[in-house]
Amino acid sequence: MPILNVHVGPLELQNPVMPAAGTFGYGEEYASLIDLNQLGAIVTKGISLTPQQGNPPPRIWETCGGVLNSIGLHNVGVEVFAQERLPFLRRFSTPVIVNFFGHTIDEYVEVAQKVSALEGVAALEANLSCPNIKEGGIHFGSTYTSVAKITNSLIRTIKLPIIIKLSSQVSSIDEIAKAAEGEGAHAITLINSVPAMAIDLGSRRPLLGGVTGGLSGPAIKPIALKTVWEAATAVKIPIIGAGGITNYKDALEFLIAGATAVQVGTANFKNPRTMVEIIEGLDAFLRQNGIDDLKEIIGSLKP
Amino acid sequence: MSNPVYLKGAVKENKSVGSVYHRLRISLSQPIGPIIPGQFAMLSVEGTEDIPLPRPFSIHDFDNDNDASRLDFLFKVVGKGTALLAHLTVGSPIKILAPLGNGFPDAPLGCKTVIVAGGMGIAPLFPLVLKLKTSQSSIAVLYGAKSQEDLVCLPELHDMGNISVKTTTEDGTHGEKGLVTHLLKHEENDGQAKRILYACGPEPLLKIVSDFARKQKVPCWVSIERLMACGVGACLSCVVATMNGYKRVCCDGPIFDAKDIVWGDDADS
Repeated sequence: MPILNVHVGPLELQNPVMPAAGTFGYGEEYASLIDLNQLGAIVTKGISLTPQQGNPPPRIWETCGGVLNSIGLHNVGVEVFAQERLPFLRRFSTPVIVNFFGHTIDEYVEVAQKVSALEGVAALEANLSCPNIKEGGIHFGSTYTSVAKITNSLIRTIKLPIIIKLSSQVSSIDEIAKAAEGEGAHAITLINSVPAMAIDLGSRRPLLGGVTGGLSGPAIKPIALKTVWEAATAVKIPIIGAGGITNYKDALEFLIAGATAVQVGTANFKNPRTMVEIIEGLDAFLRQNGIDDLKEIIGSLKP
Repeated sequence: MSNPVYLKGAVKENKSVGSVYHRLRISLSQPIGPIIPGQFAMLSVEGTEDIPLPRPFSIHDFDNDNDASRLDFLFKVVGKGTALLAHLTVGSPIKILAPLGNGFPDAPLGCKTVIVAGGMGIAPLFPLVLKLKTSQSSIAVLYGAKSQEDLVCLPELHDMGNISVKTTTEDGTHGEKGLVTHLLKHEENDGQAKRILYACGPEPLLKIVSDFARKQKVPCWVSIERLMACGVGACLSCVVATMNGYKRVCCDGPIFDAKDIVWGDDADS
């Protein structure tokens, strides 16, 4: 049987497939549709210090091969998450990665401290790349200095593995990735949805309540792949690839480009079994090609 | 709310009704019932990567006698997704996530039940009428659309007998000319029987019905429509503003108590 397990920093995953934050709720929403124990990890909706109402509707719009969203990090906040959402996930053996964000560096640290004190959290994923909030989010992930500063603050205070989720929308991803690595981040997730918009011709108004949003889905896969490849060339810490992954072939492309694991987002909506099918597809691919260990694929891009 | 199932189906029948409407009958690989009127399904067709999202449709008809192993959908061709569905031939595979959402609550016995449907709003209300007909003695359906050809369920409603059906069309080609909400004036509380209202249609219609119900002190249930992605409450795309903050139409609804809705939050409405 081929070996599918991978290490994301200190975190050992039975396979490299996990949901992208924000597309999988708090896990429970999909628990009747797939076996959560089959996943490499569960990544939660982004959590903040206090509950957030998110952006006004419409929050979603489909484009050719893509989905624009403007959810605005609507979430229950860390207290409700701890009391009402996390307990359900403790029933599963799958490691739980809690995605989180703040509006200031202090707030990032405060949320991370609260979440890391909870039983049943394996790692934290800091969202430094949300296109849908006015303060924080993508602004924190766009300069070397701010990525270094926030990573440093988290690494100094938090004992759990820290994953930094970055954006493709930066002038030099290798520099930004090095900033996270240099301050001790255990892994990097790339990419978040890409800032984008759509306009209604009749009313000449934006089609999203938040005016602009983030584009996800197959439309952004080539952008994501190139960003992952560049970052993987620049840093030694593991990269979790995300952006338009819909099937095992997409996942393989990211692994070949240098990703150690992959996140599946938009594809869960149309087919809730996508992640399970990707895991099965990877296993079958390795068997068919006589490869014993998935790790042989990672970073195997030929010149 | 029942746990949704993601399963395969096959097109059993795909009939066009008039120029832009379709009635799609799907047989499921396993029964998923029972269905509650007002619940919906997410439909998707494989091999369509340029259409990344499934499409939500009200379940228009079902066979709860067979534990719902067959579902009917009534839809209007408005874009890429519906055009794709309209072209499916008999036997074509289709993926279904269902049943989703809460469904309409029952009417208390002995109520005068008033059902207000605007255009495609008839889709989830039709099975509600069928269900309530078995227990309620007085059902009035107020059914409005742009033109006569848009009153797609009218023959079936007439066939039911025992219910009152009043129509309006904006162009006057059938029934009273104007909007269906104009018929509400005939449904004012006469103090004789308790009343209950159910409505589905464009949001301005729902708001008028909701205002009417509040003034008349009559309970009113509305089916809210939003663009959706996951259908199971995970992505938070389909929210509607309520007195208690944003709620997810897909799983906190799509049926809401009209007095809880904060109208006018959606730029589409």
